[in-house]
Amino acid sequence: MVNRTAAVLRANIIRNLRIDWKYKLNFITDLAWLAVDVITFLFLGQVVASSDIDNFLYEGFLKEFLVVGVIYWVIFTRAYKDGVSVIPNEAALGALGFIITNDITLSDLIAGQFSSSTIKTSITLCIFVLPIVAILSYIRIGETTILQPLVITLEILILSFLILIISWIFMLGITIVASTLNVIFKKSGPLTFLFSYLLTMLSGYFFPLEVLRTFGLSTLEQVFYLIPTTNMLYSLRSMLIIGTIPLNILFIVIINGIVSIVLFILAMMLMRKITRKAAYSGTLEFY
Amino acid sequence: MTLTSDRKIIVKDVHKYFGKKHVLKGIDFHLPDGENLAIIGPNGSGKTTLLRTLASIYLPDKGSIQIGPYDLVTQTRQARRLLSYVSPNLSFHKKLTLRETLDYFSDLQGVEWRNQQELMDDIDLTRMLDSPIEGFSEGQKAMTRFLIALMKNPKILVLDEITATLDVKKKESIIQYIYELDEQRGLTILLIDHDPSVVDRLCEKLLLLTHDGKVMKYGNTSEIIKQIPYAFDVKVIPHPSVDIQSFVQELGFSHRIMGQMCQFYAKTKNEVDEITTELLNRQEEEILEFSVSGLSMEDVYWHWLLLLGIPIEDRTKRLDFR
Repeated sequence: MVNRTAAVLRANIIRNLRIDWKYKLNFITDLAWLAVDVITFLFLGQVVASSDIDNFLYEGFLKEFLVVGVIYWVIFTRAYKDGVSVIPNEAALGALGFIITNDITLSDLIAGQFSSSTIKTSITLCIFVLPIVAILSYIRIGETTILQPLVITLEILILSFLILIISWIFMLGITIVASTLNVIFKKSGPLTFLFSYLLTMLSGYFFPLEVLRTFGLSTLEQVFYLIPTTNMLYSLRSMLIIGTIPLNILFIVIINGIVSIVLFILAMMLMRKITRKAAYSGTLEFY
Repeated sequence: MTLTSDRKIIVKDVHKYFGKKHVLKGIDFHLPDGENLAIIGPNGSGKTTLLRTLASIYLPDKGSIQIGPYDLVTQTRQARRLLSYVSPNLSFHKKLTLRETLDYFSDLQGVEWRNQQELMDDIDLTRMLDSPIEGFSEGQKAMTRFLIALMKNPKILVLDEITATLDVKKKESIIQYIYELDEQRGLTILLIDHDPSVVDRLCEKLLLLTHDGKVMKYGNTSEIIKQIPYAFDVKVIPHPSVDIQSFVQELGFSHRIMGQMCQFYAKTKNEVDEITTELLNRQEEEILEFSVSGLSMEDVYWHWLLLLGIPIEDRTKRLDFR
């Protein structure tokens, strides 16, 4: 009996390892996930432990810092996940032949899915999340409220809306680019999700990027601010938590707007090119 | 451009590679206006690859394909407007109703499904419009696939083993429906099917592929099928201890050996009776199971292999037609 169990166990371990070995990319992706997690929480721990980060705007506002980050990213992470799942899902429905022979662009399908997910998440945010955040801003525990109220003026509201629209275009472009991996590689799901997790982390979602200075990584901090989602989340936090509108806000909006639109156009062209290439290589038939 | 020129298909020296694998090797044929073609070949011969290449799911690495007046590689978009591809793999979100499903697929194609009302009545789908797809039978799903494919009024219909998942009755009704549709609309149909009766009924032309992706025979279906005198086959799985070579020799009927299995061919029902009587006599000691069916396109293929004197590469397979 024990021998039999051991044999089955052994056979399964060997088989699964063999299968895993055939998908080496997944090994690398898992390692990368682990590394990103370790680094992220190392930095967050550093923020909690140290109070001497130079020019850290959100001293005493760590909860609000995280809440705004969550609200910003929740809109895009769900849409991203649904967007990159479009090709595998259509393949599972056996619809790829129909899609290709009807000359339907995959980018269009992805954009459709991305939009519907954004609508769904926005409704959830407006009906459930934002009211709860508002309530928590009124409930007092001792001297202070659970959350500090967010600063909302007409100007901040309009700018926040603009920032969200630009971020949406940028993330849609990123979703289409990441989806091209699904056209080229088999089972590239974990890699595409790592892609979005990295963007989330580099935007300062989990920890303020200022913490990088305490590790002597100021240059890296500046590089991360070049990413649209990073500097747009930075502006959003500055406005909603502190009530400070960055001096260069118009510049940020215009530059990021241009970058996002260009990325979106390039992403659509890339997807068209990759889909055409897949008709020669047959990779869409991997599914 | 005349209407009829929209439907001719000219394939010249088409090659298709997947990585280092050379799947199609110089396919050539000319399908005249409005004629229908069946592609036949054993597993791995590239028949699905060829059909999907003709449907533009794949593009040829070498050679040219002309769909109506358009070149498939350089005018892919125009060529795709002429054709519809139907696959039994196309499934639907089960919670959506037929109306919602048709709305979705017609929006994707930029057409209006309500223009096909007459067709919907013909195939008895109108009464199902507000029913969720999860309650549909396989036959109704197959009809829905057709309806979706026909929404854009294609000139060319590409059918990828559409009857594979259907029982005999549903298969018969779908084939009859396609036949009538072809009569009304004058379509060009390209298909893969394993049933000679389907092929014989729908297709004027037959393309037989060799196991390594070359054209073995291209011609009129009636001529190709008529040269095969058999109508039935009896598949037999003998007991593993039985020497299959001597077993088939002893029975003395036309046969094909495939590894540990064999198939006997019969011209008439009387001949089927003779074979089955012989098998029943031997059942206890020598036979595990046997079944009788109509001749398949695979049998047509093997017969032609023998007629053309093409050597059978697989040594586990042997043919003896008498």
